[in-house]
Amino acid sequence: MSWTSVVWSASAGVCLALAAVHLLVWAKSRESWANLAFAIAAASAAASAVSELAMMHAHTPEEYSALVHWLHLAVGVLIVALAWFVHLYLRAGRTWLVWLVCALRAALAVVDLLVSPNLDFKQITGLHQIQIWGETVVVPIGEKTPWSVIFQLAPLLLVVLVIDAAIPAWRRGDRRRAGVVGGAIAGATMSGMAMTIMLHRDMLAVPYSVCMVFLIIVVPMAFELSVDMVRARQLSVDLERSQERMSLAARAAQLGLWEWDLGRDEVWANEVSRERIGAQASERVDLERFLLRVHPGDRESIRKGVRSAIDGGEVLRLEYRYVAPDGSERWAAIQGQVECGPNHQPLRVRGVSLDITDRKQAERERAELHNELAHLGRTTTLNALASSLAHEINQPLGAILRNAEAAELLLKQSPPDLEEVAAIVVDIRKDDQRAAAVIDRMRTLLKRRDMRVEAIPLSQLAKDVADLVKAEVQSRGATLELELPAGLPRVRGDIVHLQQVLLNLLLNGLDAMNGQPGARRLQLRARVADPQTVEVAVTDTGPGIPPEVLPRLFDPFFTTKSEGLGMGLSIARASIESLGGRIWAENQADAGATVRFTLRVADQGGAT
Amino acid sequence: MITEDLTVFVVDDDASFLAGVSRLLRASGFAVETFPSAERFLAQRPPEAPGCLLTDLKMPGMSGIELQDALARSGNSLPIVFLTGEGDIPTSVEAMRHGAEDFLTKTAPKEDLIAAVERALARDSFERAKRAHTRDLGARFDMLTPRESEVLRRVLIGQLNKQIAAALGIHERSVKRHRTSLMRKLEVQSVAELALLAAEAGIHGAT
Repeated sequence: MSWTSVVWSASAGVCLALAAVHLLVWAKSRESWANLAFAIAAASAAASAVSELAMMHAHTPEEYSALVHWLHLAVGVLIVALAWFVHLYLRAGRTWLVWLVCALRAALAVVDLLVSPNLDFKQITGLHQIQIWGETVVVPIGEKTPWSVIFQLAPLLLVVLVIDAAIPAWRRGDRRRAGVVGGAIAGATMSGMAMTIMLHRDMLAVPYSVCMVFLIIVVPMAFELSVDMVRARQLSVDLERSQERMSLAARAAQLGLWEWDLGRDEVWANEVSRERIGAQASERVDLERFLLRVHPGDRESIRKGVRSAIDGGEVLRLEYRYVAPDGSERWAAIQGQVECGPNHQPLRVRGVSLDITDRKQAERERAELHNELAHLGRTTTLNALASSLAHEINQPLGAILRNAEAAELLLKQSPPDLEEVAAIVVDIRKDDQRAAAVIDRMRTLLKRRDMRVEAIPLSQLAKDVADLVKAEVQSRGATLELELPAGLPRVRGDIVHLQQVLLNLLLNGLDAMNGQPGARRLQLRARVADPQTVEVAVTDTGPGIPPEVLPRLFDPFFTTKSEGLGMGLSIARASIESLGGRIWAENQADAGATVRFTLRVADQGGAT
Repeated sequence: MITEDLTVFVVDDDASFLAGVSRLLRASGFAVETFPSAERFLAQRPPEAPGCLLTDLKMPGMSGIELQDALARSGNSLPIVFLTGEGDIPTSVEAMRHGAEDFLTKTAPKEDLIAAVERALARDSFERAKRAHTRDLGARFDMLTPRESEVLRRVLIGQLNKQIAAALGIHERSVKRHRTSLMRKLEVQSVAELALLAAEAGIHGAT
């Protein structure tokens, strides 16, 4: 049996098998070029095995010469392929080194082809037969050239390249790969170089066996391959598990996950998402399909939001109404992020969706409660003003009654003094209007209605409130000063709520100065704090706010008075904050306290 | 119903109520003078002018109660009727305790108002008459000579002429003469009347 044939063929077979496997891997993913490089290397190793086998059984020197050319070609491809493989697999090493190896080997190949018979031999004179493993094979005899050593430059460079790539890979932590692959290839190449040199120096009498050398690489590569396969299997198990977990979590939280591939305009949506828009598991989903279930009124704003997120790279954050599977209208929120490619072109949008109907409901209820509470606060304040308001109304009412009674009597006289009666009637009308105005002011406070935000002329509002309290201010022996600069811009607010806030602050100021012997001065001032903000301040000349009270001043149900709910300031704070402003209190340096609040300037400027 | 010389003085800071009330009172036959504030009233009102005061409680500056106190301090006892825009019990009690004639709301029916004014005016007349009477009485007693006063005092404690004569060291005839004189000066006809008059004038018998 021809052992050489068996061994050489077997090694060719192994190399081809390995080449095939790596080729398949590359074909599947198209991006693992390292695998392609290795496949080529393995194929050329197989080719060189075939050439060597043929060379060993060559009959003539010319045949031998021709085969040597083939061998050199195969080895050249092998070296180049290995160079690329090392560079790609270890993802390290200088690329110019790789190109250098390629260029060098290509040059050598060309030269080899041009020189006759080849670069190793000046002349092949004959074929000598030797015995290997009980077989007769041929080795060449002839005059050797001194140039053959040049051929070893390429593998030498390869070794350099391998070391150059292995070191950074090792440092980077890829120790196993660097060690196994680097070591195997470097070792194999150096053995190959040694063997070739010794062959040429006639120190060894064996035929060429480059492919045997390549086998040194095969084993570690097979090991690497199996490691990769095991890892891939493990990864796929982990991935499956991770997906299951994510699916479970998403379902538990009713979290819809989606990923929109902008290129294909196709959305991957998880079960929860699909359920939400009523799509089947296999149905194709895109933006329009999604919008089908969205409330018509919200579709445009979603399109706009998506557009600006994609164009501007902002985070996508939207709230919208949709029709749930059971037909009811619910609220949902989407949050997503755009992923861009290396040229900043938008590739994908990924995000989550959540049903926020409960939250919206809670918000609505909270707003209603606030309104009711504010209304309650207003009626309580009105109670505080009751006696002074009653006084204010009873003046005109009393006058009307007295006038009417006088007119009655005058008309009974003969002759009746009609001029006087006419004057009386005029006065009655005036007094009626006076009373109606007071009632109107009270009615605004008592009305129950939702917060209606509009642009409000602040000066007018302040004057109206001042009118409302003027009787009370007077009866407490205090004075109220208004400082309202001309050209104060309109502010965003709700008339009733703001009136209530001002009323509250003024009454608090009056209460603070109760029974005080010195001057009792109340000041209501407004100023433009910055182009977007107007600041209003109510100052009294009372004893000031004790420091331990200051942090709790705006808490609900907190009061330092013996009567009263303690809701006034907390309602005021809720109203001001829901309008985007701030409210705070501070003590004056001299005496008394000031409560300040800010309001946003209304968009259309309009001076008051 | 017209009581000459008696004027209703009305004080209120609300001009139209002032006008309405004064119209009504005039149409009901009263003489009315109006003042827009308590200070003005105190400054301009003729002292000792007969009549009554109608005033609001809550006014900027001096309040109705303060006006009441000021009048009381200066010994001017004009009867006061309070009119108020809001009636709370503590203030009304305070006002009545300080001696107000009445306390009404501004929207009280005219009958109540007029009745209160009339009562106030009547009281003023009555008090004036009483004060005049007391002055007059005082004048009368001032006309007695010291001897006559002494005799009067002893008569008041029921001494007989004889006893008086002995006590004063004069003749019984002189006592009788003094008695006749003092009874003529005091314009009384009997001892009973004398006793009553003396009691009215606050003169007691003594030794």
